[in-house]
Amino acid sequence: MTDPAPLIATEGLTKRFPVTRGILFAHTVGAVHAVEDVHLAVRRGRTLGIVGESGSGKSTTGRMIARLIDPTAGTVLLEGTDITRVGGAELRVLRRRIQMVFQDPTGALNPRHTANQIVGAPLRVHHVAGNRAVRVAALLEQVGLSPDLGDRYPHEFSGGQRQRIGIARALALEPDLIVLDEPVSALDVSVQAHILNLLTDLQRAHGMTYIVISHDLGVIRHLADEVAVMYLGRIVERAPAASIAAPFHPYTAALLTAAPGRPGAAHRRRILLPGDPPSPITPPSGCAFHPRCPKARVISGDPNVVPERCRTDAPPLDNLGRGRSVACWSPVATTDDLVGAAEAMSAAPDIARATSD
Amino acid sequence: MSVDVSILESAQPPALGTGRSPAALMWLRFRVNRAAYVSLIFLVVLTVAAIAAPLIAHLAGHGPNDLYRTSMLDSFGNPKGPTLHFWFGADASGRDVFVRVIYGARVSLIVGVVATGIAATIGVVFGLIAGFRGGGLDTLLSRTSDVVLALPVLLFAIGLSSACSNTAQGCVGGAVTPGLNLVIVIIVIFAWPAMFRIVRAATLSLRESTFVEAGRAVGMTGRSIMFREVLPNLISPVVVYAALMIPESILFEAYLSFLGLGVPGTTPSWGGMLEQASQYYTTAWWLMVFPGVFLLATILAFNLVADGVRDAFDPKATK
Repeated sequence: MTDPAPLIATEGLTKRFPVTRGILFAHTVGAVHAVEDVHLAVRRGRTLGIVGESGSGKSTTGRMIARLIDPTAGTVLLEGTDITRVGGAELRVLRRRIQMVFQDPTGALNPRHTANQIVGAPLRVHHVAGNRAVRVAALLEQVGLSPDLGDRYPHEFSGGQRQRIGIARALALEPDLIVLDEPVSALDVSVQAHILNLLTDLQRAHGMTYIVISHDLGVIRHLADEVAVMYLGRIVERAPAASIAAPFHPYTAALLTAAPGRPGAAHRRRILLPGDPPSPITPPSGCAFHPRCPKARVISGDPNVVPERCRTDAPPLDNLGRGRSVACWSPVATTDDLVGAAEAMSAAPDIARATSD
Repeated sequence: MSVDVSILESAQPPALGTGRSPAALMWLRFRVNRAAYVSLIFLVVLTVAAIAAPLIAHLAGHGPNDLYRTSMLDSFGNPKGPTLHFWFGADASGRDVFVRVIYGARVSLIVGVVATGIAATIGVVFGLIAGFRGGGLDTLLSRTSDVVLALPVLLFAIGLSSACSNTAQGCVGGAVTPGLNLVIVIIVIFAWPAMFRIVRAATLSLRESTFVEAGRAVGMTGRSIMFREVLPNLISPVVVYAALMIPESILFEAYLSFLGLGVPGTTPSWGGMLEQASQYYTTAWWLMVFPGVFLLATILAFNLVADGVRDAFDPKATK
C-alpha cells in the first residue's frame, strides 16, 4: 500500500470455506466466501480497527493474519516478508512476533491451568531465558492483577480479570503485533473501559502494533488510528479514525447511526437497513451491499430499483486521498437522505424479490 | 458426562471455591456422599488386607493351600463349617476358606486395577490421537474399536483362554502366559474400545475450544496441546468411566474363573471358589456365602465410589 514500511500487510487475502454435503461420500457443493481480496497495511506502533457485523469476515481476517488459519489466496507480509506459507519450526518462531487475544476470555483459558501456568506457557514453549516465575509475576502486575492471584484457576476470576490474563499471555513474548479479536465484547460495559484503557497504556509502554476486531464502532474509535469497514468479506471503506464520522460508504453510514452514544445522537435518526446480510455462500452479484443499499435507492429514486452498475459490477476500493478509500460507485454525499430511503425500502412490499437476483 | 470448560465455576460458593484446586474441591464434594465414602474406606481396608495376606495367613496359622484333611473334613470327607480357628470354615480339600478369601481379594483387585489401568490408558491415548488428529488414523482406530465391540465377548474369551492355556508357554510367543496374565489380556482387549469412544468424542469437541486455538497461537506443538491442554480436561470423564470399568473387570475375572478359564485352582480367586462351592452348596453354605459376599461387597463398593466420583465431577451437584 502507500505506507512506506508497514509492519504487517495483507495482499488479496481471501478465505473460502468449502461447503460439503453427505457424510459417507462427502463432496464439495460450494464455498463460504468468508474473506475476499482484502488489502491491509498497518505501520509499526499503530492500531488498525476492523469493524463489521457478525459474518463479515473480520475475525477470519484476524485469524489469517495471526496464522491460525491458512488463506485460500493472497499473502500476509510481516515487514515485507511473506509469512503466508511459513510452517513448522519457522512458524513457531513467528509466533513470538504475532500474538492474539480472544473474544471469549473464559473459553480462551484452560480451566485446568492456573493463571501462572497460562501466562507462563508462552515462556515455557519458547524456552525464554530467565526466571519464569519472576517474569510471570511482572506480567500479571502489568495487566493490573496481583501476582498473589497467580495460583488461582480461571473460574476464580471475573470476566475482566480473565481477559487481563489473556492479555498478559499475549504480552509474554513481547510481540510486535497483537491481534485483538473482540477484546471486550464479552465483558460488562463497566469493565470494557478498564480493559480498553489497559490496552492503550500497554501500547504506549511497549510500542506494539494492534489490529482490533470489533463490531462496536465505539471500541474501534477508542483504540484505532485507522478503521477498515468490512461487509460480506470485503473491505468497503478505509479511513483515519478521526474522519470516519463523515463516511463515504452507505454501509459505514448505517453502522455509525446504529452505534449508541454516537456524536449528535440526539438529532440524527438511525439508518435501519432492511433485511439480513446475504448468505456468504451465494454473495450477491456486483456490489455485495446493493440488495440493502439505501444510497442505490436515492440514486434511482425508487425503493424497488437498484442502478444497473451496482447490480453487475463490484466496485473497487478507490483511494480518495488523505488516507481514505471507499468501494462504492457513488459515495455518500452529505445531502443524501439515507434514513428516508431505508425507511422507504422497509415499507416496499416486494423488496426481497427486487433485490434477490 | 459433560466436558464443559466451566465445569467448576457454577454452584460453588465463593468461600469454598477460593484458593482451592479443582481436585481439592472434588474431594470435598466426594466426602459429602456418605455411601461412597464408606465404600472407599471398605476398599482401602480390603486392599491393605490383600497386601498383608501372607501376614494374615501367618496369624491364622494356615496357608492358602495347606490341607487340613483330618481336622476339617468329617469321616465322609465332607468339609466342616466355621469354627474358632477356621472363621469361614474349610473347603472340600480341607483348606481355610477365610485365608483363601483374603488371598482371593488379591486376584480381584489386581485384575480390577491392572486390567482397567491398561485398558483405560490404551483407550485414552488412542482416543486422544484419533480425536485430535482425525483422518486415516482416526478411521483405522474407530473401525477397530467397532469390530472389537461387535465380537461376542464370552465366546471369544473362552476360545482365547483355551487356546492360550494349552501349554505353559501360553501364546503370542510366550508373552501371554495362562493364569492371571491371560485374564488381564482378555479383559484389556474387550474393555479399551468403550474408553476410546468416550475420549475420542470428548476430544473432538475440546479440539474446537478457544484455549486449544490459544495454545496454537502461543506456538505449542500438536502433541503438547493434546497432552497439556486437552488431556487435563478429560480427567472427569476418564476417571468416572475407569471407576466403572473396575467392577466390570472384577466380575469378568470371576466369570472366567467360575468357568475354569481364569486363574489356576492353586491360586485362590473368588470366582474359582464359587465354582467349587457349586458342588457342595446343599451341605456347605459357607463355601458359597463368604466369597460371594466379598465379591458382591467389592463390586458394590466400586460402583458406589464410581457414583461418588461422578457426582463430585458434576457441576450441578447441590452439595
